[in-house]
Amino acid sequence: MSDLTRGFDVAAKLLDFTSARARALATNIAHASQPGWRRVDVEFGALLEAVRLERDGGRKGALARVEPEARIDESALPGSNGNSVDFEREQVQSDKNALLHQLATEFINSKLNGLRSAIRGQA
Amino acid sequence: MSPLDVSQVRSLLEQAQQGVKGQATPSPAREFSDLLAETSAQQKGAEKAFEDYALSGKGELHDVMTQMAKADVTFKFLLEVRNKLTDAWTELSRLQV
Amino acid sequence: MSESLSMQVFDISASALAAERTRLAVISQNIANAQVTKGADGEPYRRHKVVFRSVLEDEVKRRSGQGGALPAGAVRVDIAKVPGDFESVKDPSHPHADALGMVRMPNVNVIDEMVDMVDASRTYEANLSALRTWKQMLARTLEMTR
Repeated sequence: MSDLTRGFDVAAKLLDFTSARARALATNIAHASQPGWRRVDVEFGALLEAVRLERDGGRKGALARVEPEARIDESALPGSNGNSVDFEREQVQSDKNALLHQLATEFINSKLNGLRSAIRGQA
Repeated sequence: MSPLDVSQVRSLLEQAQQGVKGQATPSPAREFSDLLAETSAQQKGAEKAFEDYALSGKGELHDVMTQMAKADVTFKFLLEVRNKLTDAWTELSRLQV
Repeated sequence: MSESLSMQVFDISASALAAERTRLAVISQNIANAQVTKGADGEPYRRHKVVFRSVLEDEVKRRSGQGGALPAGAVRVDIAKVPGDFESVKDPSHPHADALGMVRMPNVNVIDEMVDMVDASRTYEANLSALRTWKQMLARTLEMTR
């Protein structure tokens, strides 16, 4: 991971995670009334750990190797029909996730624009 | 490329010479390297703010965005200064007979 | 992953929306059962109500994991039965009438429930509006570098 692409790499990998989470949340909403359905989600802890390993832990390639995983959320309590989806919470988690996705996109865009200007020689 | 006033370049050079002789007088060379350092620091700062917010929830969104915006503006300013200096150098080398 | 304050606001609004929805469900149940003079326990239907409470700091710490965590400031509702004696009305022809021709009725006042329903609905809309406004504000902030 060179200095030039440093910022990119984390933001790009974050987009993988936010995309995966968007899919998981949409699946939950689609199964909101299905009996027995337990909600799934994507944890971002693995990404934070991979960044730490890459930077301070000296494990090169940790960031490139980490991938998002959708898992059943064990802390979500099932209701009377075994379904653990709370419609409003899924909506709101979707909103939060979309904002994070947008933030990463803006970051990448601003870096790209900077590079383009530098290459062109014009701000 | 914008046409450059030669007298401006001359005064800049005189300032630079005085700067080398004098103490802590602002010189274009020093200011440019200061600007380079500032730009680099702001880029790193914006990157850290982004990662801290996105991965650990530290800070607020508007702070991250303002840091990114400032880093962008400083970088564009750096490009402009570099362009002006390049223009000045080109003009100057044409003057050498 | 811990969350910044701007993200926690979403969870607070979501908890309010869920609470009002529970409130509406309870109101609907009350209205539906307003005429039930003998339930499974042999008693008239007893009115249910929701009790709001704030999520406290120690509760935040107790619930771990990304799925269950609610920030301080969020709300929760508990469902409780309204205590008190049932009123009796004279209706000798009613199958559940006693020897004196009196029937004990549920402690549900349908008019009150309707008023409550309007309030719950309005509060739901208000929270939805707050959520949308917050989303818009953050979206604008994200456009800062454009």
